[in-house]
Amino acid sequence: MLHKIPDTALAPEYAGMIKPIEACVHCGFCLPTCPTYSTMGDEMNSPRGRIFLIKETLEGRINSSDIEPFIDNCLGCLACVTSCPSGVEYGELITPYRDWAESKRKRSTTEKLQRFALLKTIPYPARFRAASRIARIFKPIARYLPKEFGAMMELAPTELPPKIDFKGHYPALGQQRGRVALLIGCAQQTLAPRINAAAIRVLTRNGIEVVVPKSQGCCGSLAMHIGESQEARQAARKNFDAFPTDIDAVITTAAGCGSGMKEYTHLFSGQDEDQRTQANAFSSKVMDICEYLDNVGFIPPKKNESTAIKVAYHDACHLAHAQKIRSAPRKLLTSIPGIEVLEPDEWEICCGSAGSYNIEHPDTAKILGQRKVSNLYATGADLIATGNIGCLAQIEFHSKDKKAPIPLVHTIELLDGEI
Amino acid sequence: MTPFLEKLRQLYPSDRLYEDEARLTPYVSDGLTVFRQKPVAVVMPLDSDEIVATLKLCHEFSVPFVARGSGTSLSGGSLPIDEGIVISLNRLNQILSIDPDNRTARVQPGVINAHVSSAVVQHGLYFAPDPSSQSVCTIGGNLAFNSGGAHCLKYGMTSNHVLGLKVALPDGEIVHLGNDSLENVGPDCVGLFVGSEGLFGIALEIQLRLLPIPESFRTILASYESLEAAGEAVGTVVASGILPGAMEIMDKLAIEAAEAAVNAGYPRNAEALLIIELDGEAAAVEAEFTALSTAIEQTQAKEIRIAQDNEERLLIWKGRKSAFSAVGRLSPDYLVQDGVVPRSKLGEALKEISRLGSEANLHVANVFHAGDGNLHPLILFDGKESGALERAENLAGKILRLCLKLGGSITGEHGVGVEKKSFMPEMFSENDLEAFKRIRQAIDPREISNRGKMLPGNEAPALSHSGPHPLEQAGLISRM
Amino acid sequence: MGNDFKLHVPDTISVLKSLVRDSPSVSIKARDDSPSPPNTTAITLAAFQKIVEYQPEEYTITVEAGAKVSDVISILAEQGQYFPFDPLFIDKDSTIGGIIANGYSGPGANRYGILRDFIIGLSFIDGQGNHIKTGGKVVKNAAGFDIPKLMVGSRGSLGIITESTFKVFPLPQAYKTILFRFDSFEKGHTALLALGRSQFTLDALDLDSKGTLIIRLSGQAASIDTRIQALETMLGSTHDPLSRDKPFWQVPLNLQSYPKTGLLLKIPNSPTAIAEIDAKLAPNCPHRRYSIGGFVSWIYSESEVNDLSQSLKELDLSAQIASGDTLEQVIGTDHPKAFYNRIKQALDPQQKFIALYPKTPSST
Ligand SMILES: Cc1cc2nc3c(=O)[nH]c(=O)nc-3n(C[C@H](O)[C@H](O)[C@H](O)COP(=O)(O)OP(=O)(O)OC[C@H]3O[C@@H](n4cnc5c(N)ncnc54)[C@H](O)[C@@H]3O)c2cc1C
Ligand SMILES: Cc1cc2nc3c(=O)[nH]c(=O)nc-3n(C[C@H](O)[C@H](O)[C@H](O)COP(=O)(O)OP(=O)(O)OC[C@H]3O[C@@H](n4cnc5c(N)ncnc54)[C@H](O)[C@@H]3O)c2cc1C
Ligand code: SF4
Ligand code: SF4
Repeated sequence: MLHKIPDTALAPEYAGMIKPIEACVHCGFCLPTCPTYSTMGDEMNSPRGRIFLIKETLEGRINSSDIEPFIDNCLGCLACVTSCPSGVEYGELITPYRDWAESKRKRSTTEKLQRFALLKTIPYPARFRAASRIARIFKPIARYLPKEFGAMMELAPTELPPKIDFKGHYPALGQQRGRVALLIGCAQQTLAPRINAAAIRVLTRNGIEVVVPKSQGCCGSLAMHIGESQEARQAARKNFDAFPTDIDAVITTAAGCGSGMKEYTHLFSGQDEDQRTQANAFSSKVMDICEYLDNVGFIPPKKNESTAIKVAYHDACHLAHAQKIRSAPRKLLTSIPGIEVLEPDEWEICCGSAGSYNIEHPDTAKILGQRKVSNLYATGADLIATGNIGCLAQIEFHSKDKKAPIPLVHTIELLDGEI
Repeated sequence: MTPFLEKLRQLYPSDRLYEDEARLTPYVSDGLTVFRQKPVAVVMPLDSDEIVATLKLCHEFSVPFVARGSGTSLSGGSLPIDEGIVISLNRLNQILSIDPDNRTARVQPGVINAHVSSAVVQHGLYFAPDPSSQSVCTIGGNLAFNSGGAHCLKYGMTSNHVLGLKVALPDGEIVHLGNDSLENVGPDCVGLFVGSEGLFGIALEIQLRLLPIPESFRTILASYESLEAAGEAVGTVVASGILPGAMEIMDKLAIEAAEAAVNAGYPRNAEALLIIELDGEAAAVEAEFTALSTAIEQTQAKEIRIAQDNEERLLIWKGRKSAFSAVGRLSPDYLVQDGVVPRSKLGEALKEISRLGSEANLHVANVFHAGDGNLHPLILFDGKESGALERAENLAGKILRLCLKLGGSITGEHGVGVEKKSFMPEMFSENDLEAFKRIRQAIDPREISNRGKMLPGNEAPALSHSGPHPLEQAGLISRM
Repeated sequence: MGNDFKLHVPDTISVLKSLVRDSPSVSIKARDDSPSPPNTTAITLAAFQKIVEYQPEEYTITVEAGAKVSDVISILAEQGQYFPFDPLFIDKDSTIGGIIANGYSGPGANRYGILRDFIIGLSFIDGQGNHIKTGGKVVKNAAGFDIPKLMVGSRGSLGIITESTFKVFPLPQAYKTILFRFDSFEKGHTALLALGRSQFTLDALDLDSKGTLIIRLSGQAASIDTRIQALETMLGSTHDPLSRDKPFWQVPLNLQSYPKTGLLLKIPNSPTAIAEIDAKLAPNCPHRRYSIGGFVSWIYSESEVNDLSQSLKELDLSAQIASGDTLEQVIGTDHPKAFYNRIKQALDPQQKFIALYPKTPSST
């Protein structure tokens, strides 16, 4: 699409926004797969509309404040990237744009507090545990709190599993085939440490040595996706130091973290040479657990008897759209005798979890959550599997009034063979 | 305008009536982005009553309106009208009923084409018109433009699959046209409404005809050393007396773009690719396949591939259907033309287009419905280069005139819109156009329904093709 | 018929134009046994019989409106082509303009579509004597309003058709017509519905009032018998061949075979509605035929026009009168009337041509 963004308008870290704008041909193929367009039906809440609005804003025809609501509504699910025949990398537009616009933005005090609360709790396991305890107390009165806080309290987990302290190092079992470092994630570590435990078992059983760097922290994806690039870079730099370099891959079991870390190249694009090299090197090693296992050749767990089980696989946006990983998890799952993978309708449409979206935009998130749950339940599966903690939490939350809830697991738990 | 807007505000809550810059801006163009025009308002009706009330208001105040589906028109069909409103039909997206025994479905206009087929697949049925944009475009848009697709060769365009209509005429009167049957009593008013480019009011409910999903398919890819050779192969196949479901051609540029978009598995080294699909009863398809193979052997095909399973077949079509948008990967901007030539003149037309392209120093990609001579030259240009758009538009005009010279038409399925209306006098006499206008005025005396589209004259402040429009020079309207 | 009209035989378009301009009322009479309203200038297009353009490799043909349908069919057949809509009720005098104006399609239209689906271009003289050309000569064309379709079924009420372009198809290599007899009408009707939903691609699928299905298949010779076997398996019964299977098999529904005293109606309907139509109309309608996959009913009735019209209204249906001694054109419901009147006003403001709907308001 033709644009008139002045050459001088954009600092180097934002120059990458031009490419997706130019590549967009305004064909609308992305509309039906966009969760906000498919619930609201208006052009400004569609990818095509947002690209157009950002273009107009960068051209100086509209104020960034005028388009805030529509940019905020975007879940960053990147379904639009999957459905775009023209190769528009929308992620390379929205993330820098959010950062670009954030500096010009006036936020209300509650909003600021909420963003602060999110940024300063979720990424820090100890604080998150503490906050959850507080939230539990506020839960009964959630609906009397300002909307932004209400949702936060409502969604906060009622009960947290016991904490698991991971060792720094797990040797490979049998013949060694590789060596990786595991990002244990922040929210996930608090909400479901069982996932990383399963990952370590599967990896080591597959002959992979696993390092769990002690001083690792949050990957910064959350901050990055809500327009706090500064904060995100800080988090990333911490991990550059914490992670060893003599490894085959940086493994994550959280799709959101994986996609964020794969985007470091863009996050650091305006920084100095050294940082950029470091970011590229780190980023190029990042792999989702399923991607990695499929790559090295997964050896399914030995089972005495195979029970037939139907698994509805939910594509996490940050895995399927952002990292384009769809076949690996399916391949791994079906390699286990007895497992049949079922495909829900509207696989491409986000469940509404999308990082912190369900906290910031509870209404849309709720519609999407319910829609996803009904599609998943319609498959008649015995079990639902997905590759992202956010999706697990969202789907679980919206299936809580189901009479017969379908058990929900992370893909790696099934690969572990314990279920 | 103010009294009109005040009444409009009584009709719609503010979250369904857009008047502010940020919410109007994304509506300024459709799939043809070189034209843009800001409307005074956009409304989002939820039901037929709201549409009728809106039309009555527009009629009362003589305010022009344009209905909008998914805004994928490639001819400016859903481009807003100066001092007019946009009526967005995207929330009227319900499939009202499905009748498998009669093979019909009743739908609201905002239903997406592909959603009809997915809603009836459980009954073994589908909706045949398959424009490449079918995953996004609406039935209302298909109806207004009589849209076609690859499989229209055998099954016809949208018009052949619409049985009945409930329509709000531009003054708000509701009329029922057609019925539940393929047949009709009296003149074919549905036939007239379909393809009227939004000039006759708004379709509120549409009775669609569905077809049983064919039992069997055979999809063949044949690659050729030149575009002309592929064009001639079409003639050979047609002459053999077989009637394939679809016959499409893609040239090297289009193949490259589609491959990059979806990895369809096309032969990458081919200069041109012919896709032929047979469909029907298994026994019939097998027999036709034998005959078709004999026919193709007579052509100079370099390589022939046959889709091995349904997945491969779907991928072939996904590639074909992504081609327009995928060309966005090759060039920042392009114009799509849609002229038709007699089938026996395909080779000649393609050769001349390529000559005109080199003359203008512009690349032209081709991906088109070869079976019915419907060309889709995509003229690639870089709008940042000064004068490039003008050169591209100039070339587009030459291609349209070429189609007319060869005895064809300026548009096969994308419609006239604003883009090609200045070419109408080259296809129709003053007399013919005057008759069109009389019909238009009988149905819409104030000419408020999609004013300034299709029919030349009555320019109001619409945009013109040749050079900047006076309003454009004054900075009141703009092209991107 | 004893009509002593003077029949005008214009030989050029400009004579035809002036005839329309100079006469207060005009009717087209392609054959002398069709009824004409009294006191009109009766015109025949006998001088317009040319094949204007026919290039077989294009699969299109342009002919003048006075051309005889049977001649055009033979010309097409010589090149291995045909009209897939199966022109209906044609004898040696039937004209191209007449079949368009009547808008009838035969049972063979089941596979690819009815007449309106094959007409791509048309010229006509409107009520003010303007000669108007619409559509085009290529199989696909989206420019301008689709007047060619509008004229199908217009019965000469909107203008005089002078020339038309059709899309045609290659003649199938082989075809076969077969019958399946069922014990009852209901069983035949159920089978018709099942076949309509099935994956069988039948050229013709008709049902008669005794419950017999009349089916025609066409395609590559090698496949036809296998396909018939598949049909037998699905229907669970064996077929009877139709002995008089000659080229362009016509539905055995011949106008001459019905006495002129009654009315022959064409009723468009949905296939499921047939049960109700048959039950309601059986008493006074000795011949009933359900054609084109059940989407159109041909009913020969001995009832009064007004009674029939009332019965149709009760079924929310309308009908075109195909033959019978009446000037009535359309009976039953009249939903499109308001829209039609606007078009009529545009093309024939002085109401020179017949009116399709009774009591059309006179021009204002
Ligand atoms: C990538 C791409 C590929 C395409 N491929 C094809 C193709 O293969 N074949 C083809 O035919 N077209 C194709 N098109 C063109 C376009 O998709 C079609 O014209 C489509 O039918 C438009 O549908 P829409 O919902 O986007 O309509 P819009 O663009 O929103 O509107 C189109 C017109 O329809 C009118 N309209 C909409 N709803 C109604 C209603 N309810 N009542 C009356 N008028 C109404 C509007 O006023 C407007 O004039 C393509 C477009 C793109 C971008
Ligand atoms: C023996 C026999 C008797 C028939 N009797 C009748 C009958 O009484 N009534 C009947 O409707 N059909 C009758 N038909 C059927 C009808 O003739 C056929 O459907 C035929 O195909 C129509 O064409 P035609 O040229 O004979 O037109 P006609 O029967 O002369 O005309 C049919 C209608 O079309 C209109 N029309 C004809 N030519 C044009 C034109 N160029 N432009 C605009 N309008 C035109 C006429 O005004 C009339 O309304 C009869 C057929 C046969 C074989
Ligand atoms: S699909 Fe891609 S090119 Fe088309 S509108 Fe969406 S982002 Fe733009
Ligand atoms: S990222 Fe998701 S929500 Fe945002 S525009 Fe793309 S599809 Fe829509």
